[in-house]
Amino acid sequence: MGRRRTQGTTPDTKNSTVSWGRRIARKKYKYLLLLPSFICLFIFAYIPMAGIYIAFADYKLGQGIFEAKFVGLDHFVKFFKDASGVSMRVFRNTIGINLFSLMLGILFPCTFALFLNEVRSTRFKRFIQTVTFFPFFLSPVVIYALAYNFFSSNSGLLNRILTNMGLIKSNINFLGDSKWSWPLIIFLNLWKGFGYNSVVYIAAITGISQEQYDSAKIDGAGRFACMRHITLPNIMPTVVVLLILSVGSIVGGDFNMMYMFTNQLNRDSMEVFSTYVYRMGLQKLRFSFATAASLVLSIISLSLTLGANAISRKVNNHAIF
Amino acid sequence: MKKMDKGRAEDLVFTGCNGFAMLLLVFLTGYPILHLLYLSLSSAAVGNEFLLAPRGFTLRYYREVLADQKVLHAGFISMARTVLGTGSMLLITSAGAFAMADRQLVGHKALWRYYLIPMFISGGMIPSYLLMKQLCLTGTFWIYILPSLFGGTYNMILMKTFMEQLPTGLVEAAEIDGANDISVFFRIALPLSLPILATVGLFSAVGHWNAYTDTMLYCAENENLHTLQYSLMLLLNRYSSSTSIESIRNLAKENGGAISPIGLKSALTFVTILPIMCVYPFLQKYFVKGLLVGAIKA
Amino acid sequence: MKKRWCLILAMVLLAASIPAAMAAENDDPYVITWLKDGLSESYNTADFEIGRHIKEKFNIEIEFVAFTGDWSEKCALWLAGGDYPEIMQINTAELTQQYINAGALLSYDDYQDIMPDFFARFAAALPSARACAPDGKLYFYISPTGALSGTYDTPLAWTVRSDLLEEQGWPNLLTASEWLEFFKTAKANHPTTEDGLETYVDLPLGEAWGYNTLGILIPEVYHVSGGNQVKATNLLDESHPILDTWADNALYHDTLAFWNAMWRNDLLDPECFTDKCDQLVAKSNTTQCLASWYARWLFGSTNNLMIERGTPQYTYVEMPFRTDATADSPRIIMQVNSMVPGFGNIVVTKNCKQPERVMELINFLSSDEGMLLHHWGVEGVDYVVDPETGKRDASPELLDLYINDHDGAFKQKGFSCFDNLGVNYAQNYNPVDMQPGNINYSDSIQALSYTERQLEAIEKTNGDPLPWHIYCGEHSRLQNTVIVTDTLAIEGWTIPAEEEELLDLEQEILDYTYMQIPKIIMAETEEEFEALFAETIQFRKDMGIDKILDFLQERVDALAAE
Repeated sequence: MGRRRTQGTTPDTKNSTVSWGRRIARKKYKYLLLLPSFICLFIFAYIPMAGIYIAFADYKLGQGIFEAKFVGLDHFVKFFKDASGVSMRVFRNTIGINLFSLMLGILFPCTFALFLNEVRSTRFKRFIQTVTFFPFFLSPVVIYALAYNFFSSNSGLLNRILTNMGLIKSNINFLGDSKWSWPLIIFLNLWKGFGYNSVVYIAAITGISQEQYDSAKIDGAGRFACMRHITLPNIMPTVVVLLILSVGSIVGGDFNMMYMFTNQLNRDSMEVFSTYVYRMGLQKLRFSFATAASLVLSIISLSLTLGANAISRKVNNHAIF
Repeated sequence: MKKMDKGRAEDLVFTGCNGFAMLLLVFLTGYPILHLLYLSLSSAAVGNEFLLAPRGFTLRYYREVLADQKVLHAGFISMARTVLGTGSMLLITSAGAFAMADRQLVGHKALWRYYLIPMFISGGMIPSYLLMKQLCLTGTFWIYILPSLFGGTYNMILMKTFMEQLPTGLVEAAEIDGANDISVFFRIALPLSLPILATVGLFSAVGHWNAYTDTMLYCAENENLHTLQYSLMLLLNRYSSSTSIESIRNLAKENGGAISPIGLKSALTFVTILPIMCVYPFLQKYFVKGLLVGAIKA
Repeated sequence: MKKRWCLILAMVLLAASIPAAMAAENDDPYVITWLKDGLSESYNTADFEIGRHIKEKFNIEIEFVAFTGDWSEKCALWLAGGDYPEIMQINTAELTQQYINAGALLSYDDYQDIMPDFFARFAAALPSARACAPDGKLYFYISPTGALSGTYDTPLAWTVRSDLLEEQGWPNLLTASEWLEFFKTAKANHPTTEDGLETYVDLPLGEAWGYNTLGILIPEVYHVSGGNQVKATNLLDESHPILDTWADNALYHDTLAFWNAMWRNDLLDPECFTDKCDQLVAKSNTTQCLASWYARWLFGSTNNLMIERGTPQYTYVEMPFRTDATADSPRIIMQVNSMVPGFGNIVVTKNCKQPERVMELINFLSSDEGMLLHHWGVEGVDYVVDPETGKRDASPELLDLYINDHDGAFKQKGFSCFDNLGVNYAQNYNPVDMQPGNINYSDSIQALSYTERQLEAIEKTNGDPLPWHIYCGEHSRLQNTVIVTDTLAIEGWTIPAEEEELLDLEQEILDYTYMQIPKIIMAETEEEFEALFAETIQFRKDMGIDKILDFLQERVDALAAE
């Protein structure tokens, strides 16, 4: 199956011989379509961006941003100095949890979408989609309560099942034990998000034309073969795009979820950057420090994303930007 | 013949296993929700156990929530912002995505950099707040709509990826008929992009529906502008606070007496979720295959 | 021609509107919007009788709007944007300091001539409040917490299932060993609930403030946090400035030893380290929870549930606690005569439209007359004064109202509707006449808020039907009440925001301590407990806790010298 000619790769053979001005004029309507988003971004993203100055100054609440005294890289230095003790641990936790969440967060919804596609009955398919979609809307408080019912060490269902099956002798404290923090939070993030995240893949799958399947069936391909040779390759661009976009979030993390599940027992494996910056920066009103820390993390995110994009261009010959 | 039987057997096994796996997933995601539903309908205390039905069926929590005028009004506000916000966002972002899908555009690379950077770097809470104040948006309904008119580069990229894969045959045919880019966008690109529009629209709608931070920061004083989530959190506070004076109040059994916090929270959860879950099945039809069948000329 | 007519018309309209505007200013009340955190429901003071009395005097209304969310963030952004409201209550010291430093607040000192009662009332405490402003003026005040009364001695108390007390003959428990024995027997009698759920003593240690609930043990660097209440139950020598460390204070050791003993006897819930309030309430609703500590406010709904279910014997009641060594120590009533920014600082900002009127109102609410009107209502109508003892109590009409129409009573009267403006002793005693600061804590009304079962429990254990007399009644085991006037109480012991290094060190030590406490409590043997405890003490010393203590001691000494 060859690649279909798509809009994005149409060659313009007349490129080199036409002047700039003419090319812009020819496509003037496209620029018009771009205009609203351009303006919005300028007003709501770029103007506030000037406030990054806070990270380079000793900002005190109540003064104008640019009235603050310039201190250069002081706050950044402080952030990296902290990076010897506590920050190392936080760094390790953030990367660890996010890396696994990321990989599974793409693998699982994608696989789920692939297999969901193979369900024949439309009604059953819709039912599955609707139910698996639910957990995304639950607030971290409610998820904690549910996790408690399932994972708690006294009377949690999991412990009871494991004990009854004879697999463990004494109850495991999933919610408190540091050893179980990562599996717990990764599992919960996955559980919460897979239905929601699979929507993109499902949408991509619907974009595949029926022709390809029909001709494959004629050639005698079975279900697995169809999946492997038609569905999967066709949604690969989507998968790659989502992968590249997710790479940047490796230093981030859902603040509310982490805050809920971090307690004194599992702090050394549960604390991530978002909760750390909150504790050290915002809670103590150290906005300059918090902004500096966020800026460092943002730059890391941006670099990772651009890097992933470049790798994709080399390997797949296809990149987002 | 043998080949057909083997094929059918393989098919059956596949279907069987797939069905079983799906059912398992449905149970893992569905039962906890069901359990929550039962909790929101139970008046008796529930320990750690498998609930097969509400214990001591009561509509008390739902009555508390839905009888509250403020909550209902907040529901309208949330609905308004969801519809307006999502609609406008889809239009503007898809327009941008359509344009950016053209790699031959002059300044393509620079534009991408322009759109990418805000995805990662932002000034933070304080500069945004100051900006909203300068624009006189604080305390108005428009604070809910205007800042999110552009739905984010992430969504734009998703849309762009989808649009790139639309067949060029249609576009070429339209251009021959004399259509300009705007026509192409509205008449071809948008209708064919319904799956991705539905997807991104869903994400955005959920965001608007669940939003409460902007209320807290900008509209806390004005009860007429409270969103649903914010209003529900206020309701929760009404039942959580308990000084001695409040406990005197609690003696009044007519008020429904004892409130189990998790019961109330579950009820609040469902009040929030249910409208979305009613809309979702309607959107699912946009994920149906075969929109392109017959659209492509030889 | 047309232009001239337009001009004349405009001038006529303008002229006509001026008297209207002036009249408007005179007739329309001055409405202030007050966005308040922790308020359960929005209201306008003019909705209430008391609010209307005050409106008659001053033509002021305050519109209280409930807020939910991160109040600190909100206050910070307000300051950043300069659009803070007219009056507000700031909940942390750092924020208050920032507001003062940024020049956003009006100083009460500038209105001294119209606020005689205010300055008279707070005379002793105000100098310390002035100390935190760079120009030494008064920018905030805290509605005083008054003197500890009997009703709300401290949250440092047990809430225990009353059927367990009944079974063991209503013992009047106090000391650690007594409680330990009590729990051992209780658990032996009731290892599980009727539904087969295992019973335990539970604590909400999963919450961020959870470790404060471990009672006398407050795992802070120095025991100032928690303020008066902590100090009162620390039962320390009132003549000596209290600057002690975890290590030297036997109370910490004894309390932790108690919790460790509870753990070793399988009495403490293994899940307590991850339980949050919701889980605790769920456990008490199923009577799994034998008792809990500190989180008394969570049990109101549980008790109502018990009554509803027809099992009032499971009602949870409060009882005090002391370590063995401190059983006979005096009960301290602390009168705080200092004001440093703490929790609940009342400030008037530069955005206030008519500051003189606000100051007048605050002054009135600080006067005796205003205080009584605000918190007790109208004499003869809402409360009566016993001619012999001078004791105030709710009037029979008011009691009727409370009994017959709870909600109506609240919606009608509006006691303390101006919240913390002026003087609000809340649930504590007015130190001048040692009577409850608020009518809702008068004897008769307090008696209404306890259920039959609770009254029965208190009477049988304590020999006295008034619940708060556990702490102060004739039969109370907490004898020798001592009134301590402390002007240095909170002041010297907070590290100022500029000392970033010390604050970071404090945070580090706190983090370490919080991580150690579960290990110490979960020690399997007494030897292990002692070893872990000693190790923690030593490690804290090695981390440099003495630096902090020396710094604080210097501050305290400097203030004492003044």
